[in-house]
Amino acid sequence: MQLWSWLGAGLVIVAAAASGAGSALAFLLAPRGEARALRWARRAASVLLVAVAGASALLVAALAGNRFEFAYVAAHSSRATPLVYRIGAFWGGQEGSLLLWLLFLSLLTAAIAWRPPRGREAGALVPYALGVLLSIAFFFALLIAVAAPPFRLLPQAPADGAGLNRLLRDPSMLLHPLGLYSGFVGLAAPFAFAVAGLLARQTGHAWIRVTRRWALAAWALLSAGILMGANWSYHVLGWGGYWAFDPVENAALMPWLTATAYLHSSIVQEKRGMLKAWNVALVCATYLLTILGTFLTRSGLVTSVHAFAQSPIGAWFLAYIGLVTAALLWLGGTRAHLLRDERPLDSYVSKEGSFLVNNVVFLSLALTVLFGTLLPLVSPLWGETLTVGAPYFTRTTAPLFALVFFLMGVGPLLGWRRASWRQVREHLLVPLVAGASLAVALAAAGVGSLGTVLGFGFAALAMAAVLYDIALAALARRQMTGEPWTSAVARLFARHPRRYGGYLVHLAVALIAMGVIGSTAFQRTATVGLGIGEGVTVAGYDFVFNGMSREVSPYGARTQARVDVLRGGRLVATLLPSQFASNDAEGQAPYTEIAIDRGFTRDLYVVLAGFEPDERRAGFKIYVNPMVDWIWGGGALLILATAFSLWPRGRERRLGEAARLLADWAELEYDYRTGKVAAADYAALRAEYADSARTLLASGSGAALDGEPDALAELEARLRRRAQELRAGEAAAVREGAR
Amino acid sequence: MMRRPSTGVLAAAAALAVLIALVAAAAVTPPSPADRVERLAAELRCPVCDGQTVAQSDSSVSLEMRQEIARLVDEGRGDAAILDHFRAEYGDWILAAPPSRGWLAAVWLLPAAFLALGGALAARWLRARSRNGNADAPSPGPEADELPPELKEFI
Repeated sequence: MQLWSWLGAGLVIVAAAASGAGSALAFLLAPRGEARALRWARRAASVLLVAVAGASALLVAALAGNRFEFAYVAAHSSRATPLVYRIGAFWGGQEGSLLLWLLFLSLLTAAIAWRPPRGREAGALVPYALGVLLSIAFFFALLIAVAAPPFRLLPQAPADGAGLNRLLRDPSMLLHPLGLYSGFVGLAAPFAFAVAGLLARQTGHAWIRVTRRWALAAWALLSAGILMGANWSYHVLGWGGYWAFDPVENAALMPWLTATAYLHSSIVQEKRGMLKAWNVALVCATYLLTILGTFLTRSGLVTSVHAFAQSPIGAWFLAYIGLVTAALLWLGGTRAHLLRDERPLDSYVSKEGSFLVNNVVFLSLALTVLFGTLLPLVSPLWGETLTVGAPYFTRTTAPLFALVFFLMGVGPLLGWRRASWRQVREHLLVPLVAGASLAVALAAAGVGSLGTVLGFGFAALAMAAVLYDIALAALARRQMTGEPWTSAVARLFARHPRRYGGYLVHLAVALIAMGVIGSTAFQRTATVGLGIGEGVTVAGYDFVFNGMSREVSPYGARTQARVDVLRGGRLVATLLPSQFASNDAEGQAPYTEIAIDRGFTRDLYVVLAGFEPDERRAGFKIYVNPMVDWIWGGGALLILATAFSLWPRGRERRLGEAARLLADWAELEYDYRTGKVAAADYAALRAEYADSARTLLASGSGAALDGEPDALAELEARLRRRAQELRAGEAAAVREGAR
Repeated sequence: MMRRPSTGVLAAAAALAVLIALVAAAAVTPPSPADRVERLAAELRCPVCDGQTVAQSDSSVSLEMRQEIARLVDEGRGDAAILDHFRAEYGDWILAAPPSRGWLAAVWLLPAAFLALGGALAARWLRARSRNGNADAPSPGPEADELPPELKEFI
């Protein structure tokens, strides 16, 4: 075992050495030619990946093989832990989860090193970006090697381990950290390329373009991770809820909020050349928040302030955050002049204007959550330790989220550059009527408080805006092409996956919001002690206690109660809430297993709180939770829509930049035809697109068109012919004038 | 190029909203005293747990506090009176959301302050930009309404 331990520790040291040296080499060599820098960065990335994968495999083998000599295995696994959770214990503790972070980061670094984005501009960024990624890997590898070694041996191997925390033995907790960490790590890609752009003194949006997919995929993974965490909280913790604004939840929410802001503002830079400095700042803030999130999650700093001085991890992270912040401020300060925008904002009432407001709102949300989370750490500085709980966060963020949904209703219906109030009024009419009439009707029907009713109204506004916009664009398409409805809608989605995939995400988020509002406002509950045959009525459902039974397995003993749920005398569901006593040390306190009957309109949720020794009488917590499934359904739609948006398409790959240009151009045509863009702006924007098309053709003719006999070459030929016609026309006019 | 939304679409949206409200009104049951207890329990911090409210916690102290809330609800006391009862016993700390009196009001105004500050900064930044001028707004070409032939086949 000593050998294993040395090998594991050695691999971590190799990883640290490779990433440290690789990062330094990449930064040193990059200004003197990218080929050599890339070669060294690649070598480093490969060594890093092999070493980290080896260390990870070793840890998994130790966990699966019950090697309790290892302190980590003894603390987080046991013989009574099922195999899949023994493997999941890899990310069940601090050392292992940091190693998982490093493993994901190594995969990302290797992927970018071996399949670097193409193009001259992007190519110049790659060595710097790899330097940044390797420097992050260096920090984590060093941290693991020195402060959180996963391969420490115990002087005396115990016969059995303590076991994985009972609460973590759940499929969604198995997956939740994977989603969260891959999301966190994925967001390092846009950060690395943004910093690379500054280092290489590039002013374009190449860094956004080449990391768009990484950013979007990371955002979706982070969303999935957050939702899986919420689902775990819902069906494991047994308090009838799923989100409590706990510091650890907030740690994941903050980078999600800034990443969402970035996904929107980056579009403004790509399409309009604006918000350059802002995007860099936003992506840096997001990265720092992912580090802060990892730190808050791992250090247990906020829930227990005393852990601060004891945990060596805390000091490391604080030092790293300070160092990176200082470096970024210096870099931003010295290179800010590179990030001047190409053009000013034409009007607040425009798509770019709505994105700007969106960013202000999302940043306010992130700052509010950050403030509330760090308050217990900061407030002792002026005497009194102050903490704020879930009700504070709910009440302060709800109005801001309402603003977000209002913007989701307005933004899609605004065109680029500038929209007149008349246009805005006419386009907003349908979504506004939909949202307002839902709010008014709900209020008139006496359903819920003012906040509830308004919340539903705003979510409905956002939904209606998306559906209305799709209908309008399909109509415009039909007018241009004469297609039938179905194929107009299908082509709209297929040709503009980014825009309409994004709108589907809006729908998904509105569904989630409705689920959150409905389940919060309409939850009904009872806490009761029942004898056999007795029942209680909650929200029109009769819950009847019909006896208890016991079952023994190799892992432990389970005592379950039978609760029949009836509605109007008809049996709707039989629920078996139970208490489980595991055979390992972790399981000595009985573990409560919740029974849920899930449904589209309501979940029936029963917790067995306790029972008399004779098992004739038991205590229950009963919840009827309406609309909770909308949250998970919305989450599934969110993932599918993002995947649709990201799915590689042959046409896009063949045409490259031209596909994007044509898509943008076609969107402009829809927007003009649906009346979102004024004639003058339409002409100006179209002239811009035509210019870019000409530039693209001028630069891309040659290598890029080899073996591309189809669309792009076709387009080029036509544009050339047109230019010749124009020139001939001009020449004729000149001749005419001379005559 | 303006399309006025038809009254039919508007009426359909409104009718759908009314239908949803009717369904919702039929499905939602009025809250019981137990729901009020739960709502109030979510406003109070569990004194012995880390960052949990009474509603979330299973501790015996929380259980006793729940029973106390239920007793006060039975007595017909108002929400504010019940929360004040616990404040008298434990101090302001027991409230999961700090009271909006005194200097703590600042804590509540912060989100609005963030929003205002962000808005002001964005506006200032934009004004500084647009002073540089904005000349490019040519009039539409003669064939603006017509789709360029290059594009027609590629969209």
